[in-house]
Amino acid sequence: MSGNRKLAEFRELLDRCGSRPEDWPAEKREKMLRFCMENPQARALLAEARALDTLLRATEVPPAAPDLAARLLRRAADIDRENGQVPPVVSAAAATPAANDNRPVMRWLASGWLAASLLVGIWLGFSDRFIVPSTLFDGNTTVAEADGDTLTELLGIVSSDEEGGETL
Amino acid sequence: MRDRPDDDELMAAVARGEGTAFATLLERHLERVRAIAWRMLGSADAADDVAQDVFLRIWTRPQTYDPARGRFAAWLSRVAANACIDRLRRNEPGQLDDAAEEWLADPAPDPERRTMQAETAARVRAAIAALPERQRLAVVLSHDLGHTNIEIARIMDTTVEAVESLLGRARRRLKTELRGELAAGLKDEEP
Repeated sequence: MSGNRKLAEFRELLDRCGSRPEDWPAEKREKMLRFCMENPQARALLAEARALDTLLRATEVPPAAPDLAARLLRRAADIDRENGQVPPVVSAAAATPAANDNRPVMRWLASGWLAASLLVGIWLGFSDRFIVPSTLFDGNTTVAEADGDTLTELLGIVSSDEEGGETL
Repeated sequence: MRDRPDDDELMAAVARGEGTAFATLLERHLERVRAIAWRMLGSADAADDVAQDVFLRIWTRPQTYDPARGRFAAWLSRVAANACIDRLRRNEPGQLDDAAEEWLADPAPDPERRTMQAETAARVRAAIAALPERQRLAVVLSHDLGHTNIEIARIMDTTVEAVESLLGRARRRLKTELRGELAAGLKDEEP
């Protein structure tokens, strides 16, 4: 294969597969890397492709709205409530592994604990007040690090008047 | 559940109604979904809306994810990409045009986090925004999210060859549009 044709093939490879050799087809990788070492024009093409990758990766996505995650969790709770299910923030503690296929029914039948959860859910339906701890999704605290194992504990179902926190 | 459950374990827990697992998935993948939506729609508000749609779908219909058909991140990218394309088609035809000011605005509030000059970043964003829809999606999935071409083909429901073709046309166009920035970048790297 002539140098020009091989150079055109290399340019096509970079356009289609990018500048990282690990993304190139395995059957071409060694041959093209060797060609790149031998040919200064090929090295220039690779440098240009890398520069393009750098440019494309360097623009940052603007940050999410600060309360986006909290809004989403609240909406998830609302959906379960609208569907007549125990709010997820409550039911998380009560869900059983066996509840996979019919989780609303199983939740209702699970235990007296669940009945208490339902009462809390009904109360939430009227009060519509959840508190999200300021540490949740603040970028410094992971869910795994937060105290408690359920969303009930993570979100804290308390009145804003009691805690003076953010009312959602 | 282990200290750091994998995505498949978390999805199984979400299917059982475990809110903690949902919160963990949200924390782990929210930015991935927003990155796709922001690139595709050009608006931070629209990106937040898409993120909400996508994660609520996860909560309400977790059974639509089948781990046997590929990893969760690729499935999530597909759901997010489809949500963006739906919005573009419903359109909201002027969505990108309307968002032009946002594209050109500096997205990074913290100057120390900026990795390039604001003017260059704005030109790069504008060049990506000007790509045809499917080329733009392929670039976002490849460059922003690091998906392989095989994964992109699954996400976009097409062949690997078609993905390579989309990326090839996109990169050629971007090289033309950004030749000044590329030259400057190459000059900076010279010894």
